[in-house]
Amino acid sequence: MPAAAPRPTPDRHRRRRALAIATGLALLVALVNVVFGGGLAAAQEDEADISSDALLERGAQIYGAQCALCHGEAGRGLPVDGPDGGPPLIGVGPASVDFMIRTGRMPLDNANERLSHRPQQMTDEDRRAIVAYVTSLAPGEGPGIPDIEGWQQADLSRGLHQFTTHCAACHGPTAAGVAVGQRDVSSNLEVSTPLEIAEAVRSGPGVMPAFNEEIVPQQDLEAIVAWVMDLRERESPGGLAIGRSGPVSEGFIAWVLGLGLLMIVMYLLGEKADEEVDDHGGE
Amino acid sequence: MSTTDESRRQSPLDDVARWLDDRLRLAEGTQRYWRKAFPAHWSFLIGEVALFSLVVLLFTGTFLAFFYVPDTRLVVYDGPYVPLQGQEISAAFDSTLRLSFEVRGGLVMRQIHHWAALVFVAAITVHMLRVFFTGAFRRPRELNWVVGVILLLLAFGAGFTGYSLPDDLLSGTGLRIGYSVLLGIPFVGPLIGFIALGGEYPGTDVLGRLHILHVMLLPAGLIGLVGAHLAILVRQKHTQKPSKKATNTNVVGEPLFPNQTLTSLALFAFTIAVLAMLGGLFEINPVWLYGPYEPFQVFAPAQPDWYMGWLEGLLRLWPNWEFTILGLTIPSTLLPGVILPGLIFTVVGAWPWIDARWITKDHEEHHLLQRPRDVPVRTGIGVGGFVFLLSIFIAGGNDVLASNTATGLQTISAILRVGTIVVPLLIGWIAYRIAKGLKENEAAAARATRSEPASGAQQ
Ligand code: HEC
Ligand code: HEC
Repeated sequence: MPAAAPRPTPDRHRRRRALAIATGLALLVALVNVVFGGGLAAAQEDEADISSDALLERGAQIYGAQCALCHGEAGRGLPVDGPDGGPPLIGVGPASVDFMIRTGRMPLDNANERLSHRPQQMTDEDRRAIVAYVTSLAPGEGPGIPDIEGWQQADLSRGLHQFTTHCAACHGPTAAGVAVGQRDVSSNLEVSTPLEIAEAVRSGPGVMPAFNEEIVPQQDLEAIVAWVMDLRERESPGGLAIGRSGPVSEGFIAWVLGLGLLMIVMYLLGEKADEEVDDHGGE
Repeated sequence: MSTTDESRRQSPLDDVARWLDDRLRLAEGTQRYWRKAFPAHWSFLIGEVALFSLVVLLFTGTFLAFFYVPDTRLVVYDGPYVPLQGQEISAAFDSTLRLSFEVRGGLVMRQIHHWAALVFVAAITVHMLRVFFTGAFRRPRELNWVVGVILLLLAFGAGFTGYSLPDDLLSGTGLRIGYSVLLGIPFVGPLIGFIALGGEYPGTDVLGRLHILHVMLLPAGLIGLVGAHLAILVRQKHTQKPSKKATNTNVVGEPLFPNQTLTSLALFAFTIAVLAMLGGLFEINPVWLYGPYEPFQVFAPAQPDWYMGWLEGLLRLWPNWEFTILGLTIPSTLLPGVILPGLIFTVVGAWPWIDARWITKDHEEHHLLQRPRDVPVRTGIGVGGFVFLLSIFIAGGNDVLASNTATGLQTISAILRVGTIVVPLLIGWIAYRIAKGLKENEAAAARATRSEPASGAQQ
């Protein structure tokens, strides 16, 4: 500190203290936000009026910039051949749009590309804006974003049963995911969040069928979510589960670890090539 | 008996042995067998691993049979596994869950049993390849080759029936595929199906029937034929690799006792150890995740155990051709599901005769093994056939392949369809060329050393 520095006046003292308190408060708020996962803020935003004009305007803007290239003016769609073709979005419903953006499937880079799970490609706010905008094109149509508050209390037994009934055909009994068509691989459900699972069920991404209230009532939806989440967390009482991909990996283990190890044992126990046998025995 | 024997008496066991020997004359007969020679090359031990796996299968299987209930009647599950509590499931599935979660050591026994089955068939396969490529099936051993092929078939049958017993979603799907193939056989198929299921699909008796097959008939067949396999082996004596001492008229090797006995016991112990390790460390067939079988639910790309993979692959690759001959509709599963596998097994079973008649044109007795290069045509066909089985086996997992390589399912299937025909031909031909080249080089070298030994030594 330079020696000639003036002594702080009482006035300065007060201002400094105020600054320190303000900074502390700000830090505290930030900390609370971080610790509670920004849940407070998000919850508030979720409740914001979905058709508020500002949100809609913002949505229209982002839509024009990121989606219109393929999905056409005002969601009317473009002929689906070629690298820029996309289906119409009028009436697809909020669940579909929200799911597609949340799972990073949209905006697609190239329409010939396979849809795949990626990190979300925009901010949460932008996503809400687009969902609001696309929904406003045909209000009330298509599946809405499902409410699955109660999934943690849902009945696992029902979930397992519903999952094998509706989902195992494509996703495999352990939700490991398999190819179901030329361009379509049903996803491994390892990373899906409960909301994404529910949205997928209601909206049916890609070749997956959409399951409406009649086929999968709310209670079953929550049960399915509960089972998928449980399945992922569930310990394997039998040991290492090797990706739970069933007989393919089991066969591999049997050959490599089972017979492979035994072949080494045989090699060590038996005589090697061209080794002369001891002279005992023989007929 | 002399007095010296009296003085060597050490334990009551000797008394028992002497008593038995006095009456049954055991020593006389067994003396020869104790000294029976076993060629000691390590590749001869593969068959023993199959035998020991079978022993493990029989013991663990007996344990499982104490608890398993082959009954499709519905019961309400009330065991400790939460996700199934309160569901109506078959008594069979219920008993499998009980075995897995409540019976002490039940899960590890189930897992060892399943791993042992996979290793059993794998060991038989490698053993057969060894016998095939070294020409060990040649006269006089054709019969034992056929016995071996039937053993393999019985092993398939035991595996398939066992796979179906837990009555979970996966096993039910396998059963259903098998059943639809069965139905595709003209005339008799539906009848056999009806008898097997005890009525229309899904049937009520099917588990009972499969159970009897799995725990009685097939094991009895396996044990009986393994006995025959070994008896024939003892009677005909071993084949062996040619060497300075080993000729077509002797057998050089370790005597059965103590050398070979110790080797075998060690291998037996290792087989048990490896299977127990697999059963203890690696989860296999977690049926509780799959849930109970429900007749009209499938998950489309269900995989069977590995040794059924080639059959599954044939079914998947075969185009959906259906045609009508004389008013009889031939379903698309008949050729790949019944006729082709039948053909493959017939050719394999008849190989010793095919080989003698068309390839080596040699009907003499042989006790010395060949090397793959000695008969290039056989080696070429064998390698080609093996690669064919391998590629239809890979096709059995076409969906897994497609999702792992991010390639379209149809693209993969198209590649596999062409590949299963072209690749085996190509690789078989290459194997033939290599074997032929090696053989000719050797012949040339032998001729060179014979005609001018001096110059050969100088080099
Ligand atoms: C490169 C072209 C492209 C871009 C850019 C694109 N999409 Fe898509 N979108 C597609 C294609 C192609 C499909 C159909 C995919 C399928 O079903 O396989 C699709 C499907 C969708 C669907 C599902 C429609 C349905 O029928 O359920 C939604 C929702 C969607 N897009 C939203 C968006 C949004 C929102 C954006 C902008 C953030 C966007 N997309 C950007 C090409 C594009
Ligand atoms: C006809 C086959 C089929 C059925 C039946 C099906 N799915 Fe799907 N599912 C798919 C395919 C294919 C995808 C991948 C979609 C894409 O990316 O284009 C998918 C994607 C998903 C995703 C998105 C995962 C991710 O990576 O973001 C979830 C979650 C999901 N499915 C859950 C379910 C549930 C739950 C059920 C049962 C109610 C079900 N699916 C039934 C084929 C199916």
